[in-house]
Amino acid sequence: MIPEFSSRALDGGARLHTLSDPRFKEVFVQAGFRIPLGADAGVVALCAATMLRGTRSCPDTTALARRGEELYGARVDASLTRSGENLGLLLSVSSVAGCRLPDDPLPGALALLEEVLMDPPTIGNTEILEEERAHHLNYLRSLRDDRGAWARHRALQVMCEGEPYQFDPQGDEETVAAATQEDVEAVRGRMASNASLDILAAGDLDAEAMAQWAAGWTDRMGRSDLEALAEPVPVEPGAVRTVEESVVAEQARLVLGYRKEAGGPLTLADRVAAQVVGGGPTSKLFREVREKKSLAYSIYASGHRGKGLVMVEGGVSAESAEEACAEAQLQWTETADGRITEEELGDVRRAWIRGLNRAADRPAGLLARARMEAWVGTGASPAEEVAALETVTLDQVAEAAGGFTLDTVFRLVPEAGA
Amino acid sequence: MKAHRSEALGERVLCTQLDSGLEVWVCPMAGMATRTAYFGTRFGSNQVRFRRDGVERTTPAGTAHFLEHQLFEGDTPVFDRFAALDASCNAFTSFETTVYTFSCADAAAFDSGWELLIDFVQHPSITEESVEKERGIIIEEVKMYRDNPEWRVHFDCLEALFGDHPVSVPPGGTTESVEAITRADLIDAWEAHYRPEHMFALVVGDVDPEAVVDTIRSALDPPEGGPAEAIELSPAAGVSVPEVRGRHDVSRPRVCIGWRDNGAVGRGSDVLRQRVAVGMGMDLILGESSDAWLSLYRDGLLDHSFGVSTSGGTDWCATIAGGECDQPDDLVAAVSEVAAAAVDGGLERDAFERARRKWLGSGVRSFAGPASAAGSLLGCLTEQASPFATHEAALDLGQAEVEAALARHLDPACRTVAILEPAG
Repeated sequence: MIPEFSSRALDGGARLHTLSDPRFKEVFVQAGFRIPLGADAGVVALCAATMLRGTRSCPDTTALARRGEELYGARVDASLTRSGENLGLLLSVSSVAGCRLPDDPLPGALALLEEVLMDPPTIGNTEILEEERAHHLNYLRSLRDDRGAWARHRALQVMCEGEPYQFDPQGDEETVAAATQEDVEAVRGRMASNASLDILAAGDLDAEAMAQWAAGWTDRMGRSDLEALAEPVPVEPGAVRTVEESVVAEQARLVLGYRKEAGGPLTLADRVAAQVVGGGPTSKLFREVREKKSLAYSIYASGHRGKGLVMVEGGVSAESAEEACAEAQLQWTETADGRITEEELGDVRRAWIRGLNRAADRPAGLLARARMEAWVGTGASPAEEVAALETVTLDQVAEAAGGFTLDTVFRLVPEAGA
Repeated sequence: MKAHRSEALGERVLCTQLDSGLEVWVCPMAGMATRTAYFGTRFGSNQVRFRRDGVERTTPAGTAHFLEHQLFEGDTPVFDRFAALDASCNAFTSFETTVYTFSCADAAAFDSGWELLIDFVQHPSITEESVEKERGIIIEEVKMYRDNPEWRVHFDCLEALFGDHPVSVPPGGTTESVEAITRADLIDAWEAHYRPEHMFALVVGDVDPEAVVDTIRSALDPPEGGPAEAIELSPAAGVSVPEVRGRHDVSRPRVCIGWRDNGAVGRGSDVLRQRVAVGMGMDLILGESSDAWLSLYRDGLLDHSFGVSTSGGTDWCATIAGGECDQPDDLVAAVSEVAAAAVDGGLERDAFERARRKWLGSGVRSFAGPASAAGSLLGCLTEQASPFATHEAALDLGQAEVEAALARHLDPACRTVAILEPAG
């Protein structure tokens, strides 16, 4: 039995989702803020970075880290993610459950989470902004050094040109270089006061105490005039975009971007279709492209659930890039044509449920699933998801796969003579 | 079975050695959904030389990893056989071990999974055709890692530290060494190392330990012949090369600073304690809570790509610190200064007490679920230490012992630097 979250509304339009389970030795708490994704993503990224430079009670990174150590290794983190056409800022803290230790670190950990948003020492501190700007520009510069990540990044840029989804959550060099102290502070205020907010907490915790803390925190945020989230952007299917770029590398990287013609988030059948094509070692891509033809070590499909995209990615030898590309397309076409067996569908179902069970053994895993459901899903509980999965048929999977068109073929190939 | 308990973690591990020589550890975790199993051999990429039946053999780099891939071959792919049982399987090869693993939720499937796991590891199908098929896949895996600059500079650093010791070569080998591996190499290596005397089993989850041991015992089918004797290599004293520089198509330079420690090599709880002491000390002087970290961060000499790790095996031990940096020589100088100051001036008492609290929390987290507990226990099992040796050492180490470990470890004569700079 996979445990479920219970949800409640908080003042100021926020929602709280809690899961209390004494099996766990940890507590994981996350505040997920959402605003429409746009060219200002780089300012949000800078804002997130400056938040981790300290709080009023822990005035620099060293003090923040030391406070975390005193709290038995509690750690505050800030990260960014795409969620459909919106940008998510995730502020998280993980803590060991108090009953395992001489003193309970959770109240201190929650205070740190609260402070990084509410009490930054960075207001008016241009030095910190300049340092974070330099570090973030370096980060953006070195993105291309990870060939797989770079191919994925470029493929999405090409595929979603003119759509909000083209903007990377980490922003671009131009925006980061131009951001002012006022811009960064405005984003912080916008997140606290106007952004859509879901607070999630999972672990060995007291749900009522958590609700009390969350209500107090959101109250202090002064939330009003909530921003509307961006709706999916309809895109007319066109000719396949084919782009090839070269780098010094030993291996070619292949990214095929499939787009759901009807738009909107991926349905359960869409996600099952993506798994049949490229989800793990029983998928068509693994069996046919890797095991039968030895064309790749890594080749798989993954869904961008909120956007309605499925990306097929692989690392292949330069000489085999054409063949691997054709073979990957063939596997998608065969799925859409209904050449799927009950065995393949059964493998996907079982692997899916095993994944849910694995997630059920860690608060962070349960929390990530719950956030995804709250943001771009149907809000289904794990039990409801399992029940729905059992009803997905071969015809529905084929129909779902047939509802996608190949939008972009992106190849990152080794430079000639390199 | 011998029970090991950790009151601080609230966990117990039951250990036994079967008549065949197989070591079995079981960590029961009631109420967890997933059961996780590891079946491994102490044959990793470093064990390139061995002696069996009086005959000495040297296998090409990457043989252990190739064999790991090869064992998944058969008339019915192993992945499919596990999928039919409603279980997931995988494997990995490190410097010192090769480990096969599966996990599932269902208790009956777990028993069947063990039988299958032991069956496919003990009855391999190694044909010329399957070896050639797998070679292409492995070469793509090797190339994938070669395209990662962090990976390149890390192994440049290990090579500078250890010269032609096998730890200088990634566990997958090189494209050339993978090309050179033959079916005979794989069969020889399997016959020598996939024997219960060299192997171990680890189970974590909601299981009955005695029943698990019975299942494993009845599924085992030990092969004929005697086990191999590993030939341990003795790296020469001092570093092989004090500095190595390379160029690659990278946007920013990468740097690794490595220290080789000849005093923390081998196996067992005492050696593991030494490595824990070094890891704790390095975290204290270069971790995010150290005085140095923020100063170097503000100077732009390190960023969030910077990391420090200590690892070791039967005949090697090293710490490597590094990341991306536009002024790699300045970072090397600054880190060397921090290391020298720690050796000369010792550690701050407050910092040490904070670190102890962090390690207590870290220990509890490492047993937060079956997957993380299995990873933590595998570390101790590989090291031939007791199940909670890492955690116990972290809580028991005194400041003086950590300072002494750092003083030995941070010997400037055993330090090397690897820098990968942008080409052109």
